[in-house]
Amino acid sequence: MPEGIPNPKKPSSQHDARRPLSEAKLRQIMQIHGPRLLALARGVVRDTHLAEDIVQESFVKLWRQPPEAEAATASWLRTTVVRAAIDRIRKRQASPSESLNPTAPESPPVADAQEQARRIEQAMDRLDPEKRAVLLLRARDQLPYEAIAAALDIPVGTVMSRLARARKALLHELAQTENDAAVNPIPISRRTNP
Amino acid sequence: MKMDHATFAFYRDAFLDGRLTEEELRLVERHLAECSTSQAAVDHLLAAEAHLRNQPEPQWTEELTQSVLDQTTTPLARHVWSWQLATAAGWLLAIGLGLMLLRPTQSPASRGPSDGYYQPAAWMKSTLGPHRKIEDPSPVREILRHLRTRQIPSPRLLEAIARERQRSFGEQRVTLLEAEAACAHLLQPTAKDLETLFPDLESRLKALFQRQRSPDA
Repeated sequence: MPEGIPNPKKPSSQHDARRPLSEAKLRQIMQIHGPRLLALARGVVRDTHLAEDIVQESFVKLWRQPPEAEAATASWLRTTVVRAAIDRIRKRQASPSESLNPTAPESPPVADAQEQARRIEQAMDRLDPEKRAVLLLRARDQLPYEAIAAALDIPVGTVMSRLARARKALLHELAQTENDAAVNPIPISRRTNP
Repeated sequence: MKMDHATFAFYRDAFLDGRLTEEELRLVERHLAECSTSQAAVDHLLAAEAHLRNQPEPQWTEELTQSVLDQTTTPLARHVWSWQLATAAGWLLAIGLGLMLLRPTQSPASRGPSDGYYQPAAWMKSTLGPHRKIEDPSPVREILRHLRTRQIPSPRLLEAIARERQRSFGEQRVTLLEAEAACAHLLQPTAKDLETLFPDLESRLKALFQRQRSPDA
């Protein structure tokens, strides 16, 4: 694990001696990191409410056991959120009674760009959470392999291979959505003039 | 040297992540210029990653902030999360209950002369149960304690000892009468006090004196 990137699974003994964050400090951290973490969690779990729960729980964990170095807060939160998101989505998938509420665009596509975005979201929906997480950390957060490895608690080599598999799966799903669109085109009533 | 399709698939991720050498990059770009399938795949991936990157960040609302703060920085949350404080609170509660159960009745000596007898509150009587039934202190024992300590008895205690005297007979009645006299001595009463304590005593003594002088009357 790279130096400076904390591992929430292995808390340092110094954490116990640290005092919880003050309300003002916690509020400030939430304002700074909340939107990005919410986007990351939502991208992995594809459910707005579940993503909010995950990020809130992560902030509560941060308050209880903040990282030793304040500079490590961002990576600590990212790691906590992405792992919690993968865990939660795995548990949801294990219980068939619970269904996901995908956060794909709810409004009908109105142009080619929006149609393309809708297909990308559909393809992302079909990926497993590990692949979504590695794609989001790389494409959205533009993290280096080392930081992705720390966030997912996997070796750097596994990050590279998982990223390759995720891209391959995304291409496959994009091709599937295009085929689906060809078979079931968007109803004329949902189209708007460009 | 030309790059075939399988070789490009091997280099594709390195190309997207900018990890190729100049030589490798030149070969890949040449392949993409010649292979529409590979170019389409790269275009799709670049578009997907651009879409992910350009997604607007969701809003972190004040409601979400408040929800986290409710779980963390409120006094109740601090106690809930802190096992040490919770344990300490448990011990304090246990000690408090123990003290309450073992607590003796309040000593009348600690009260002023105008205070009445100690009466536990109703909730305390019900809490203590039948094994620690609290009874009213005996006025005889109280008057004995007052005489020992030379503490002035309260009017309520004097009334109680008078009622006790009226219910008693013989030697007990004489003893209680003497106790009242001793209390009167402690009080160092004024004439008004004596009138209150022994109403019509003067007139009754006069009548007694006259009867003694003329027993035939």
